[in-house]
Amino acid sequence: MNLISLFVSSILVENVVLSKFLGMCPFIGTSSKEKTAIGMGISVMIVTVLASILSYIIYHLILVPTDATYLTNTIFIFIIASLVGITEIIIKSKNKKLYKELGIYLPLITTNCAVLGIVLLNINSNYNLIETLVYSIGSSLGFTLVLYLFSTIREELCKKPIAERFEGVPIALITISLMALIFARFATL
Amino acid sequence: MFKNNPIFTMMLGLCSALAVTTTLENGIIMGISVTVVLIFSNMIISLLRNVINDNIKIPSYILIISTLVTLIDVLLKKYIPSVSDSLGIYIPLIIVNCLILGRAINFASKNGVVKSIKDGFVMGGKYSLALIIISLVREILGSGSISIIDKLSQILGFKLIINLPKFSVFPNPFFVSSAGAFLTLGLILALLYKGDDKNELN
Amino acid sequence: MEFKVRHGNFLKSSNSTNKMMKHLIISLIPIILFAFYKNGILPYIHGYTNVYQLFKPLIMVILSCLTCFFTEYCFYKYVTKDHKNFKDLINNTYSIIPGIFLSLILPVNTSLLILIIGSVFASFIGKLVYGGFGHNIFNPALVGRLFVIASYGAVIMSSGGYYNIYESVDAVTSATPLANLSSLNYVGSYEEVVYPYGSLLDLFLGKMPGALGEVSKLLIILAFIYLVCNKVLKWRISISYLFTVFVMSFIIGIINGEGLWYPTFHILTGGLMFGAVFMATDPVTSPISNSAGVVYGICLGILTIFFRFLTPYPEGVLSSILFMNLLVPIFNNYTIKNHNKNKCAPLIIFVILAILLSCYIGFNIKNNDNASKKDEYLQVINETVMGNTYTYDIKYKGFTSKESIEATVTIQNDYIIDIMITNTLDHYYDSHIKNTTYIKDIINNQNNLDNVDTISGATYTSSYLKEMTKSILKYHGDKYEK
Repeated sequence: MNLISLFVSSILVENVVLSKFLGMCPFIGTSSKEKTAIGMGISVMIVTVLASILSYIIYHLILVPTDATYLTNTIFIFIIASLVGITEIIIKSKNKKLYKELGIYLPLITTNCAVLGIVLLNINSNYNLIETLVYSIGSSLGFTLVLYLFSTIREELCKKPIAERFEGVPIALITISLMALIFARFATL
Repeated sequence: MFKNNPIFTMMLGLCSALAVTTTLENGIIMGISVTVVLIFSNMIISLLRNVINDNIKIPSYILIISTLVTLIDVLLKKYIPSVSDSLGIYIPLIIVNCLILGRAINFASKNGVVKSIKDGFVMGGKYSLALIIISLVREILGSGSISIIDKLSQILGFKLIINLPKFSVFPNPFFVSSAGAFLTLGLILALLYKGDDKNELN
Repeated sequence: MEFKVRHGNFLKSSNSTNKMMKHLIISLIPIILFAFYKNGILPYIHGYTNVYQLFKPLIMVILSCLTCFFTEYCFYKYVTKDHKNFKDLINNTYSIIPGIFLSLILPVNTSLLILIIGSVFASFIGKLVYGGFGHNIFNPALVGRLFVIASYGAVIMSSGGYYNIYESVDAVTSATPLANLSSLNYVGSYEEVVYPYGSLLDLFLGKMPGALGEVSKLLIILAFIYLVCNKVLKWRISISYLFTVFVMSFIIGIINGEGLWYPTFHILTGGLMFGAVFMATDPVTSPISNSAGVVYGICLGILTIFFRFLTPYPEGVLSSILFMNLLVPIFNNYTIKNHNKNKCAPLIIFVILAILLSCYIGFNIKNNDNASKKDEYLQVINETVMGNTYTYDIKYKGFTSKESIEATVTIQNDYIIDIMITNTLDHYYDSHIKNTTYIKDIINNQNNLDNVDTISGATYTSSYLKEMTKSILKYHGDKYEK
């Protein structure tokens, strides 16, 4: 029961983008097409889950026993960077079209606050391995969900006669703010 | 002053900007931390710009930045743990702040040390200014107070909080929430709108 | 080359839009008058209120409309600077519609200042920034209400909430029917659930506490029939929405041994009927095709049941409609892509989902011994007694993380007078709750904690503080009260 509510809440009410502000950069940039959004989301999910598991192992088996927790941040970011590199190579070889569409945003997953953020949150909340897995899958699913929903709305927003002042980033932020308000109502207990 | 502002114009480093700006003090501290990291990272990268191979450019930059951030994180945890608790994971997240890596790639790797340090100052200053504006709005509207020294009282020994008179509708907890952060930034951006700059936003 | 058929998301010609708005306003007039009668005239006749309160419902509606009109006027004059079509724009923008709806879904005790702020927000953020009439993504009245509830929920509740003065005199409980239901763990006998508010007929006629326009189901049904006869309403959405909620709560009731009165109760309470007839069918924010509308209604029903049973907020209509508004582009795209094919697949999927979810909820409600589990989280470290004052140092176990929050609770005469959090659980307490009046709201509403809204953005921590308070109250009550 605890795991299920952890999973559901990490997608909805404690959504990484809408509640913790992580992973904003792709919103302002990509997400203009549905397929790109889903591709991006899945890449983030793969990187996040693998990075979480690897970092959990390294943190608890190496860093804590040797009292070297100050190396946490550096090691985590390197795990993420390597995983992104590997994912990039895999996508490039399997789906050239997606690789082209994602463009520069694929290597930018390294600097995506969401990935490092989720990894750090796992450590800070003292989750065990299963909870780490559940939380990472849930959070990255939440990220993908919001990215996808926003991409469908983005297509609609382009067609609307929005006032010049609000065009582009401001209207995107206002929409995200309303989405955050709505998602916050999904609190489950 | 608002031209080429990392947050308002270039949309870099939004994560920390929105998350920690619930009080003015948090905004100031985050701004100072980012500025310090930016100055030192620009300085070091500029010093080493002719030494670092192009192929390992980005990993080495990330290494330098993460070392600096870890240093700040450890110092904060040791001397002002209340601040470290309140800023949470957003201090380590400075590593992936697009601003610092961006300035490293675009400026520090191509310019001299003095220029890079000055760029660090300027960009960090603009970033802090943006953070201060956002946190002022959010805290005044959201909690009805302006806390300049609250958590820092651990080392400074006194508090400096200005409490504004409250009435039924005044402190509106909406602005302290996450939705309020997005809305505040969106409205500030709409307010600062300059017609000619719109095309520069990618 | 791909031809994409683009449907405008507003009505076809301004003539039919005009006609529709006129019919809409006509159908709302009986509801407004009933709100005036119930919340203004009745208390006045019985001598409980003054003249201002007598006219307050009407003042609310008119003020809300005027504020929305004024907001739109200022927006078009000063922000868009499009002076050529100004007069045309003002006449065709139907600015008062969000105003009327917003005032009808707010409780009568909303102060006028809050109403004005809510109307400005609804009109500006809900409608104008998206391009005005016909271009909004979310229902503006619901956006306004969500803002008001998120910001000023506690203020409204403390000035009386949904009960006008006449009702609160004989009231058995100070909770609305749905809040009462949720405090009973969502299932109870007829006596517990319906009787405090009269009979089902009373609920139907509107003799119950609620928002201004939501109470009289009879008038809403009459308005529905009127609008359908004039062919200006997407009735398929309303019917499928109500039907889904009825069937799902019927299943939940049957599993727990309650008869037909239970789903009827669910249909007749909260903002369900008003939302189903007026808000979900808004042509701008609902799917275009008719069959998509049926699936839309079913999804709305599923979400409403989800919100009513599985979240701490008693009412689910507001959030479900707003969430489904978010999904409307997906509905429209699916309809366009598949307009030649059989569209039964999504229908069947959602019907199965509805049945599964209601079975899940039905079986898990009575097994919901969350109450006892939560008491295990409580650990009383220290207890000092001084006369009538008990001071507890407690530790309350975390919900997802393993750490505990530490607090000192002072109870005097079986009433909590102070809660001091001595060791915070996480970053969210510091940044989201500490600077607000949330703890004070918990203390003020300690007899009715289910009515205290959690703070969006810190939902875990805030609802968790509520549970902690409930636990310590129960502990104290069990130990000392006879």
